[in-house]
Amino acid sequence: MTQISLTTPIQLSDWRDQELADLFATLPVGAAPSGHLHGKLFAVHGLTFLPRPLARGLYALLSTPLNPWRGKSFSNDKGSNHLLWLNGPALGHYHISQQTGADGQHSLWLDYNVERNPALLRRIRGEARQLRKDQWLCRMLWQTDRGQTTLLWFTLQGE
Amino acid sequence: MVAEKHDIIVIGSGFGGATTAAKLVSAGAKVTLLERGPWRDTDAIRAANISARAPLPAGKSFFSHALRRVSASWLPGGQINLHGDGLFDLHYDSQLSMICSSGVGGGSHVYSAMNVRPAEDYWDGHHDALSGTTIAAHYDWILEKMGSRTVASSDALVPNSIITDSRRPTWMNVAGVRQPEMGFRFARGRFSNNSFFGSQDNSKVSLDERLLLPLLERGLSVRDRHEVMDICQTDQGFRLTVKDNQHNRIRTLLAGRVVLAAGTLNTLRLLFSSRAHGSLNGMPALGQRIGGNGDVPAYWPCNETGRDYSTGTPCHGRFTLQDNHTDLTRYGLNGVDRIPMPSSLRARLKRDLVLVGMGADQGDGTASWQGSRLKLNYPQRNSSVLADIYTAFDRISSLSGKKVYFLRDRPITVHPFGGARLGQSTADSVINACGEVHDIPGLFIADGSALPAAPGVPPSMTIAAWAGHIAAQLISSSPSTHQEVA
Repeated sequence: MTQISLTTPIQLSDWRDQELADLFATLPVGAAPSGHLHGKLFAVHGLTFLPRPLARGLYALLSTPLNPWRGKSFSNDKGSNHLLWLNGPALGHYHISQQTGADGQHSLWLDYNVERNPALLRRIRGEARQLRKDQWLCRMLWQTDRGQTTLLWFTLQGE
Repeated sequence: MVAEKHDIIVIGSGFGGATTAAKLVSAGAKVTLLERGPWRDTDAIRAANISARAPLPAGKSFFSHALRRVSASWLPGGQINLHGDGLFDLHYDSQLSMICSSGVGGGSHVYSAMNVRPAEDYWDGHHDALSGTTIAAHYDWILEKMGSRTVASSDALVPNSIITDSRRPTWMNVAGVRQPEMGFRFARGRFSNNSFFGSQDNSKVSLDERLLLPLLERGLSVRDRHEVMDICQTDQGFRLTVKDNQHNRIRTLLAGRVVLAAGTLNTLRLLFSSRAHGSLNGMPALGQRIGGNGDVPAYWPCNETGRDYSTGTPCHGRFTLQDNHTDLTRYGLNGVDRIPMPSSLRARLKRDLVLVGMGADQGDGTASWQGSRLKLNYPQRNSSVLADIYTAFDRISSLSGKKVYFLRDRPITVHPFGGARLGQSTADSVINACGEVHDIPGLFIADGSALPAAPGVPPSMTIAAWAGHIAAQLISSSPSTHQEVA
């Protein structure tokens, strides 16, 4: 098992999409998360033109109750997103598997194409790799007929 | 996206990094060198068509490019970043302040070109597998590369050398004092403006043009303005987080082996920071036994009528007092012509001198990591070296009738050493006789932080010799390189 460590003293919310993709490509798939994990999102598609300090401030706001998304839960090969609090209402369910990611390396794959989800959510895919013990770096992808687009990045942190 | 993978990454391009990279590339290794500062705009670099150059601090660029960063506990956030291409870093600490430089070529731009070996027994007794004999050939190599030699009485072109100065005071003793070899292109006869603020015309030999430029054609990859923020150990080696300040981008690089040669101050910062973030583990002796090499700089306003001390070689030479054997060195304010200032002040400064005392201090200070900042503890009361230098400066004031100004009890050094020292075990040191961190295989340290004791003389040749030794170990352990060392 890789000795996995926090990668950087630079806050990940300062990083651009391509910089995060570079980091992501160096990470191992690692251990599968389980239970409820806190989420923190950043590098939202379309906002990468913002200067880094401004983006950092915006993503700090998204970590406040202004953003109802609190994190995800994992149980065997299934999981859900949770709103308002970590055990709060579930929305957006996914099936979990290990697959080859967009960069050709193994990732933990979160597939939202499950019957419980509204049609709009079924186009979402998630990809996760372990950043350090109890922390995962993840990207949210949007599936179209022509391929996948990265919508945003987020971390999941164990309690 | 495929991650960038490198065989060997060298961090820093001063005497440690440039020497390591030069020897490894010469032996056929693939090396990427990361340097946080820029290529400097000198004649040689311009001639090599390197376009992304930054000026040395001179003329209108002096005030913008002199300082890169000032760090002090009382500053907001602990530091102020002044200019990414600034030449000097100042780390203020009440017990020991440090000055270091940045730019491809590292300290060779700002040093006084004194190329000196330490005492013959310097390397003995620190590790069973190491001795002066092991390292000797590496001194020969770097001294030859830098074109080093002593000033001779026959060097009529060299004004202001102590040994050729017929007007030096009678109490200034040079008989029997070993004068330093200097890495200087004496034959050019251009001595002014070639010292602490760099050498625009390359009369002073610097590492960027002497060691690194010739190796670019042989595959050496130099990435300037790349500042390493974090070193993370992985299964396959190391993952580096790097701020690419040229393209305003954060990069993630993978390396099988890493040679850390960022200079004592920044190597310690990087090791402490990486460990604090969980990226590196172990190194229980990190930060132990640092020192300032007994540096005490002083300003001596001797105001010698009719003299212009700024036109000499960067260093005028070493001396003692007739009645005090403390090792002292004399410098003119070389470079003053290129600093914007009133002409009357410039004329005055040219008639004054800088004195530096230096010696093998006890090196019993410690560095620790407090609130994302390096904190230094340097109990100078134990240092007889500093006390002797203070006494010598007081004696010069008395003999000359002109007060020597220096910071008594506030040591400031341009030659910090230790903190990641060579030694036998993890308990008392950070690296082994190969320069490899005891408990982090593949991570090597090739700068002043590795030195086992104070050289007591300018440490550039000692750092380069140590780096040469590390390169030799890497070459001998790698089947893809051939032996071409020393």
